Amino acid sequence: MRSIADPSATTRFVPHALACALWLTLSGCASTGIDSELVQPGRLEQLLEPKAEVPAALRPFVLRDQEQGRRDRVLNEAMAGLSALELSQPEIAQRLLSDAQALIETIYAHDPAANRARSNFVPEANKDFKGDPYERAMVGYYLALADFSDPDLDNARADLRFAEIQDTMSASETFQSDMVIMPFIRGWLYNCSGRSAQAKDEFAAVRKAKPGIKTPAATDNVLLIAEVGRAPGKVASGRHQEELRYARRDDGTIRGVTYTQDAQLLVGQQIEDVYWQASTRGGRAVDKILAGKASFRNTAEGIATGAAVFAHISSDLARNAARRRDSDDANQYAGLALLGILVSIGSDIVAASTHPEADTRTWSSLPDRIYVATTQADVIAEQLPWSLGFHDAKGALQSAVEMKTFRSGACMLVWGRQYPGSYPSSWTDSSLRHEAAVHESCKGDCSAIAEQATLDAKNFNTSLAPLAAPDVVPDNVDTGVTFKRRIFLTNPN
Amino acid sequence: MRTHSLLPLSAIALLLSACATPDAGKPVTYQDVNSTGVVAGVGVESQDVTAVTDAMVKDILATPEVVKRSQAARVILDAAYFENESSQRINKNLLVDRLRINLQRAAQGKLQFVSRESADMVAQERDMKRQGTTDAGTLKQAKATAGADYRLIGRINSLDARSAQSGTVERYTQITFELIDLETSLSIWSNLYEFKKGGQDDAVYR
Repeated sequence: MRSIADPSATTRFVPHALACALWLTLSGCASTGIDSELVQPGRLEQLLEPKAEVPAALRPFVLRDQEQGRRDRVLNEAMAGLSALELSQPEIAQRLLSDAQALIETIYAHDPAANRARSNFVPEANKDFKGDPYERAMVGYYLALADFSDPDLDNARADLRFAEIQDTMSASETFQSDMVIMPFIRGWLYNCSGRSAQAKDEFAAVRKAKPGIKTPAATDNVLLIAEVGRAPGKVASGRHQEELRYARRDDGTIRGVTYTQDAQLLVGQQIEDVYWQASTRGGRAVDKILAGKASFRNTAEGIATGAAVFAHISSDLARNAARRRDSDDANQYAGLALLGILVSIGSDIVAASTHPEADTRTWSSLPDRIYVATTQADVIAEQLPWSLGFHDAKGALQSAVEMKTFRSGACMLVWGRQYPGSYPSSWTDSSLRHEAAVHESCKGDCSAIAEQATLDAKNFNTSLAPLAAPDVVPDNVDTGVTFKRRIFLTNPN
Repeated sequence: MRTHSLLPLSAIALLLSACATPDAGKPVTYQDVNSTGVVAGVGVESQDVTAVTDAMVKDILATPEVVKRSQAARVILDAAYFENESSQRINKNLLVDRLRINLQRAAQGKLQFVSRESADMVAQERDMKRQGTTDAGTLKQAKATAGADYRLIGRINSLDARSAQSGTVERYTQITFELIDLETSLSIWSNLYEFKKGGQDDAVYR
């Protein structure tokens, strides 16, 4: 047996040295576990060629794509595609969103990044982002808006079918394929193509899913779409942030919309609740993997604690033996203490390197709710731009923006949003003009807006009280945990 | 003392060695259009485009009503009446252009193809010739542009199925083709190509 001249010095030195090693290690590679590799760097830039024509508002997405590579490509392309639509650049939006759609459609089997994401030591966020079903569906929805500019509306309808299929991933059959906005727009597009039989089928599907929704007349060649509120949030909760939950981020102040052009006023009806679509997905297969990782981490932490206690007791015993000048016992207990420390540190390293955190990457520029209206107009003639007004539950106008217009043959799509998807905002304020138009049309009685808000609340089972109730956000979120991976902000700067 | 100081350093070196495994990416390579690429989904892909058009070319050329006529039949073969009713966004020209070009090459004059897509371009050039803006060219002037005997119509349909539990995705795709007599509206030839693809995403995507 190797003799130790001063056993108490050994018991003091070893923990300090190994604690330093542990700190250095954990502060190095084990902090996030995210791979930094780039696969196909700068793909987004290629899609936006020629470079000279890339709008300035899209450049931050190009830079982000160069930095983040394939892992976040779908997210970057989806957000950039939405921004391109806001800039009235549907061709650019088509290129970006169709690439995102192709990546979503790709079957990831035996994919190295996905394999690694299942490992205990790699976070779920290591995988390539495909988005949750509601985010994938919204890629199809925006691609349909971009494809509307093509004279052939087949692809726009195909995009909406793609979107509907994404919604079938819900664990509960009740919530599968319940995004009524998809058959609603598809039916309107069928009418634009002069195929009224197919349009009737689509509108019948809408009425079956939501009996309170009014479907367009066959002669309505203008579809007005309003996107209201902030995107649903994803929250990682649980002891190790392994549980993914959804939170409504919108305060629900805006409960109705109006569309005005000259003296014409239309009141929009709610057609979709994006937060509802996010929150009704149900359990995911990956949740079981994350729960397994969390359990593994709990076990490793338990072993680390037990071994530390064992080391502490052994160290005390070694110190006592040293005081008694019993070098044999002192050496034996010091050895056991060292073993305990090593096991404790090893388990701590394993626990700290385990990443059960749920992937909270979010498409943060999505709306909370979508409203529609249809009308008939001569779309060939030069027209004043439509204005979109946002109203509270009592019908009072809060703000208004000028809407974007896309034409296809005899049909016209008019689109507006409450919050911009990129900065600087490309939505021009039209509050004064809108307020004047509302007063002119209503002649002092604008009760139709509040009545529609009440009807929307009934159709979508929501209260007219503020939407984001405090108890919606899980209260067991551990904000002290350092793993926070906010990939996206609405403002790409 | 020296042994003690080496222990933590060795541990650090060992643990850090597992951290960085950069992937240098893959250079661009030419791939066989008939092969399943590395990026595969359940929709129509390049190998399907080649397979379906090859099959239709063979079948049309084996139809006597179309190719065994005393005078070569005139056919309009473009995407104008080719509908996409599937859940996949697709450029229909991929199918009809390959079909027309391969059919024209293989038919060796037994079929003539009328380009309605070029109608405006041809009308403009004819006007310039007749107004004397340009000379008459080297070809004999025709009284009118060519009329067609048949036109291709078709449809892409799909049926999707997905299991929320297993994450299995399946898509049945059916692509139909018909040649319509432009005088009688009779369908003189039809065929279809169908396939079903299925796959299962990694559990982290379910």
